[in-house]
Amino acid sequence: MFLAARDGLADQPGKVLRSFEIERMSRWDDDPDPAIMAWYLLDLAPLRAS
Amino acid sequence: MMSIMWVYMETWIIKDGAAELTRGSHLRGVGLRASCLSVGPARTMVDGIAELADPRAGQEPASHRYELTGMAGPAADVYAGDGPGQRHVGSEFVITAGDQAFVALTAGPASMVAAGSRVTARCTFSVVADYEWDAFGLPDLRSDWYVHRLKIEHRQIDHVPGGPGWACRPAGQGTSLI
Repeated sequence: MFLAARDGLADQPGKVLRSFEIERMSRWDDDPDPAIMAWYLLDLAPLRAS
Repeated sequence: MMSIMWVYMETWIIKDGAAELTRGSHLRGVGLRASCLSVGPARTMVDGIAELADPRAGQEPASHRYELTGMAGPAADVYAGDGPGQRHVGSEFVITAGDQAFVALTAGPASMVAAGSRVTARCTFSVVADYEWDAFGLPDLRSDWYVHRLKIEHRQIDHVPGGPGWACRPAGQGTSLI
């Protein structure tokens, strides 16, 4: 059993322009340019393990 | 094996009026999707998550890819769209690693995934939108998480295949949002 890669399936779309840490989310985090998509990245751990 | 990983979340998933997350927040009732670049026989003896080395490290932002090893559940083919425009986009199944379980989405037909087999998926993780659990009949894998850190990633796009209007569904199940 082996499922080969399909381009783009595992990755978020587009080319990464910038990535930076933030203290908190803000309702203004979206970039106003429609050609730029913002994603949050959360460094998560199961709650019981933290 | 690690218990902390970077997980993508689309900005619209935060509900209007919901508290915005900060470092140290508790994220309750959230399930994760493993979007797979590949799925194959288990590469480790122990179930869990390991970070994939990024060959571009230091040159570009990290890709946040992982190897998830665990037990595969029964797989279902997933289709997008309706009518003559409907197309097969892959298959979906649960990977259970220890006491954590993830909704895995991968290319290829469901028949390629043997239920009960141990697999390793090379994947990125993302938050499953809340509406998907009921709309697509997903097994409820939601649990509670601790937010260690947060980042914003901006991507240049030509089009957005994801987002709230994009739908995946097992064959003959649910209603497409497209």
